[in-house]
Amino acid sequence: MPNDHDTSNERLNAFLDGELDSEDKCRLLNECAKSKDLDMRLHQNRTLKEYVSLAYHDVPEPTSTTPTIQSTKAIMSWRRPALVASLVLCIGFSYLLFLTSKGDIDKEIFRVTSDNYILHAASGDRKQMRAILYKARQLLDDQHFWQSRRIEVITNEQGIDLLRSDVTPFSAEISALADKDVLFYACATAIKRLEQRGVEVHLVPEANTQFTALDRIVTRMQDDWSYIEI
Amino acid sequence: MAINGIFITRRRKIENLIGKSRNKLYRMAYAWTHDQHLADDLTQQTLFKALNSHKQLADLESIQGWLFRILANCLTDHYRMKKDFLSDEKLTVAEIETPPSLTEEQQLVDMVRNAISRLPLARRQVITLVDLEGFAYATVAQILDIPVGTVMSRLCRGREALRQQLINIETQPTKRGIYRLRK
Repeated sequence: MPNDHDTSNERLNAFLDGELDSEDKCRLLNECAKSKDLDMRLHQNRTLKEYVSLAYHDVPEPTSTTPTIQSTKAIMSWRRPALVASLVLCIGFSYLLFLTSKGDIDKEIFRVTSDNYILHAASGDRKQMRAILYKARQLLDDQHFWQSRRIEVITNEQGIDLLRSDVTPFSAEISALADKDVLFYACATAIKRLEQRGVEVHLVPEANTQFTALDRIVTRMQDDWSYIEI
Repeated sequence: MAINGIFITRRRKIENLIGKSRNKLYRMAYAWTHDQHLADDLTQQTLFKALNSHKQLADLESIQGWLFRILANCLTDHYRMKKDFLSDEKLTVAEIETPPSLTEEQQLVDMVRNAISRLPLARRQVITLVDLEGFAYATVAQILDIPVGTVMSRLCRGREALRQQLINIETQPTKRGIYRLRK
């Protein structure tokens, strides 16, 4: 059961955090004017708020790089060529609709989003590693003859083990997929962390290491790739 | 202006907003854990989940609360996976060691961070969400999935505990003076 002291502290906090309406604010300020104790506690709580804000104004830099997600401004600068491109698309689309009405065109062609995939492996569990390689193979097999689907596998955290040559049991599968142009990435931050812990990291020859997982995934999603986490 | 809006899809807007929130998410994760690496991991996980589930966000106005809710869930999942999950009341973080050669400002920062680190996670989260991000109590309640009344009582008890700890600094003179909660 809250006591009066707790209740008045809650009101003081609500006042400081902008939760009171103007009538309640006035009432509280009048009470503070009449009570030195209340006024002192209000001041102390206000100082505490400032201390908390000050304490985390500067924090240690994160260890991974900051991904660059395009700003709205950068997108807007493309509006003229985008306008022209969209007009061309509209005309082309209308023509295809006309053809479809005659039953001449396979509706698969209307997929205007990218047909590329980024598969994300963050787990060291072998079943999940097997599942991600199976998914990559399935995506390759499922594509139509006119498609050239692009697939990337990005690993981070424990998922790095998929690409560690001394750990992975899947070197042959990785090599076979790489022969079909599947790209494999090992997160640069995850490698750095392992090395900082004294682990020697040896990767399969197919692994690329120039990006962090977040960077690559964000870039590909902005390219309208589909993201699958396994 | 209307033409520009056509080319900036909702998804792209969400991605932009998510990207801009990275620093705020990291700062909050650090305030909750005082662990640079863990804060970084939690931030990354939050961004991945947000990018992957942006369709669940009904209202762009509430994106900040939505992101911090994902962050809070990621932290809970992290402690659960470590299999030493304690109740929120018992989760405190390591104190920061303050070398004597630091500036007064840095010493104060470390004292405040140490005081916050002694708070249970539940109170630490409420105080930092309100004081660092200025979230309304109702938003904090949604982020942490608790009633508004619980937000208020945790805030009250948390600030009272901080007040007691930082008032105690008065009795420990520093190199140049005594820190106190002055009038």
